[in-house]
Amino acid sequence: MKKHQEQDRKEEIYHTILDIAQNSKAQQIKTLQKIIGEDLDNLVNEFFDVIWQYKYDDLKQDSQKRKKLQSALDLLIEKYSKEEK
Amino acid sequence: MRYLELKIDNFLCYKNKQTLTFPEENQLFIIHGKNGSGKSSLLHAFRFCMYGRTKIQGSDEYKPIASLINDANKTKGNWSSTIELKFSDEDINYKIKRKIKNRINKPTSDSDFVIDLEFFQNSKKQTGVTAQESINNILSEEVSKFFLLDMEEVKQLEESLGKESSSNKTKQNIEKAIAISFLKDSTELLEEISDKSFEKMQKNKKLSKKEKQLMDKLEREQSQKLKYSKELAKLEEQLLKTEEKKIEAEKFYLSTVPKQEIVEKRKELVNKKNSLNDSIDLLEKEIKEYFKTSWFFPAEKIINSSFINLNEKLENARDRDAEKQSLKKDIIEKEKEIKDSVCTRCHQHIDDDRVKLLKKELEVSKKKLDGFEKKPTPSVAEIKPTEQAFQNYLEQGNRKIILEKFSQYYDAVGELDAISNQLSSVNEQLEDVKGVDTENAKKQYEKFASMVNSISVDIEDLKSAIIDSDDEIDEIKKEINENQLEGDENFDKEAIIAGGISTILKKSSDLLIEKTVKNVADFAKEVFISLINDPEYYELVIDDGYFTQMRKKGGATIGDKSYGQARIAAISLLSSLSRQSISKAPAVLDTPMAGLDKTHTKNLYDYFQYLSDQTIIFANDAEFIDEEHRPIVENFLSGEATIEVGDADEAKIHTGRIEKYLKED
Repeated sequence: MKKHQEQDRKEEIYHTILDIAQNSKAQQIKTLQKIIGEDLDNLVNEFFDVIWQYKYDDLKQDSQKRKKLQSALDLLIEKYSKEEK
Repeated sequence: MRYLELKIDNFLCYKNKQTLTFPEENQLFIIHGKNGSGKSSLLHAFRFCMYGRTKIQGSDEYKPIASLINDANKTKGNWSSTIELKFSDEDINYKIKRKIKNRINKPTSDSDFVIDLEFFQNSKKQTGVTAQESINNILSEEVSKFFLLDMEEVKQLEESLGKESSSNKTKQNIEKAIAISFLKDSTELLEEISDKSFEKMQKNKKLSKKEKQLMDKLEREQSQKLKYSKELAKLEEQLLKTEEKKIEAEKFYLSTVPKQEIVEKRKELVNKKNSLNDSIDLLEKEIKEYFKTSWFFPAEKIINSSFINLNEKLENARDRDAEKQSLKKDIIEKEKEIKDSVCTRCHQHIDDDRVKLLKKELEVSKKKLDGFEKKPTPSVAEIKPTEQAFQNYLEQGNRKIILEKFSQYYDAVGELDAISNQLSSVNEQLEDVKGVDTENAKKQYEKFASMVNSISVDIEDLKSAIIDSDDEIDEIKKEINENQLEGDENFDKEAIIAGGISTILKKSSDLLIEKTVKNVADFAKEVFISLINDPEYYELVIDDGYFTQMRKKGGATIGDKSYGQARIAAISLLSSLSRQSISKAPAVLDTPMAGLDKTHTKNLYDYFQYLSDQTIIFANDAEFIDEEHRPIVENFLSGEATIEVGDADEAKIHTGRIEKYLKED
């Protein structure tokens, strides 16, 4: 009954995020879509993979984990900001 | 995830190595045991093995490590304990081995122990912090609160979610279990990164006048938002602390209510006693007055001496009663001191010589009490002078009146005695609660409750101010971006990526919360219908803040749920939360049937096949009645074990259900 519970939930969250990234009309997301172009799916995928690793952590309390996540996010942002559209 | 084996050695009531093996087929495993046999110790073993700590039942405190070691072994100087848990998850086999070792000879505090942790994933071994992180990644401690439960915790969850302002901590744990909190935290982090990138970008480039104006505006708005966010974080922390204080104050206040009733009763008795004393004085005066004024013969002396005699006898009887009560109390105290070898007043250990002396003193006290019992205290009726003592002095016409007065007098004295006895018993009860003031406790609780409300209002205000601020920032950024995108290509991709992703995550978490809470509520309602005795009549309602209510169909809220109804509501919610959770751990429930009526018990046994892939429950003989419950569970029964209560903390675990170890003494 619960065999793929974590995987199912992960996919549910991922698809919700991807759907919003692709279809939202919010200004900040529209700007992101414009500058990232076709790379949007990859970007969402990579960001999600990074944050999913912290699903059990209390980032408000654990400053080390928070810093670790922040560095990982910084690296990803840097990577995509240098890529040509 | 499925538990395969639990091994414990020198842990709580398990003196020697014991192994519990869980078969890989079917859903329900039942651990049978008498009350106090060591069922809850197994729940502690699961928790301790996974997280290196386990809470005292019904408390937020963790059990001291020294208390986890078997008492009989401790006295022999053996302070080493080992717990091993094997489980599988997604076709991978895991083993956790936690070993407690003492650093010094007679350890007392937690720092006197070392706890070694080994974690094996198939054959790959990890130790220490890395091992704990791996365990948390499979089932974190917060999320385990929905899987490893004693009934006190089920009750707390039910109570917590049954209040309008349900505890933030519970909400946080729920959001962790359904994997929402990491989205919220990541959103915040990305917002910060985005803001910093924007600042960096603007410092590094030359701005037009319009851009400069926009940037100043943005900076002001961002610093305003930062101020709000800091205040919000502070207030949220304050709210958590205040809520904890409120819960403590509420518990204390509720515990003082019965004490307040005792105080009220005492007041009432004292008033009655005073009024009776006044009546007695008046009656005595009236009787004496009659003999002084209405009788030719000077009978005053005779009547006075009769009253003096009566009062002396009453005084003696009261003294004897007081002495008897004090003797009884003394005997109870001495017996306890002899049994525990601990002084009841100073709580210090007492040596053998003192115990011998106490035994002698106890003998004397018992003999004395025996004497009192054989010669009971006479009642007023027995003490009072007879009518004959006075009747020679009474005129025929007045006899009836004066005898009536005497009768009233004796009744009042008798009643006074009864009230004095009640008063001394009430005073004894009050001894335990000296200094307790319900009014103050109530005021204290109300103070914290109103603080929680006012902080919650402030938090809501701040949250909406932050939303406004966000909108404003979005607008300004939009203007800046349009300006930049139209003007040149020198816009900051870093800030846009961080801002864009954080907006995506925020919108996703809002949507997921809404969806998940609805799923939790819908599933809990379904479970509730299958478990409750009268599904046609009752329904479970859960709102978007996880506030849970049981209602009569048609809308009327149930004020006080019965014990069984509350338990069923809590189990329905738990079942739903564990289903929506990202973890798929087995459910381990300590005596879930305790206190349930026959039908709820049967419904729940039937439901265990759906609760989880593996459910482990603990039950005593009254909670699992073989002929009644086995037919319900046999199709999905995975296995059984029975705990044998041995001598001197030597519980043993046997495979299967063994009747002879289950009969209560």
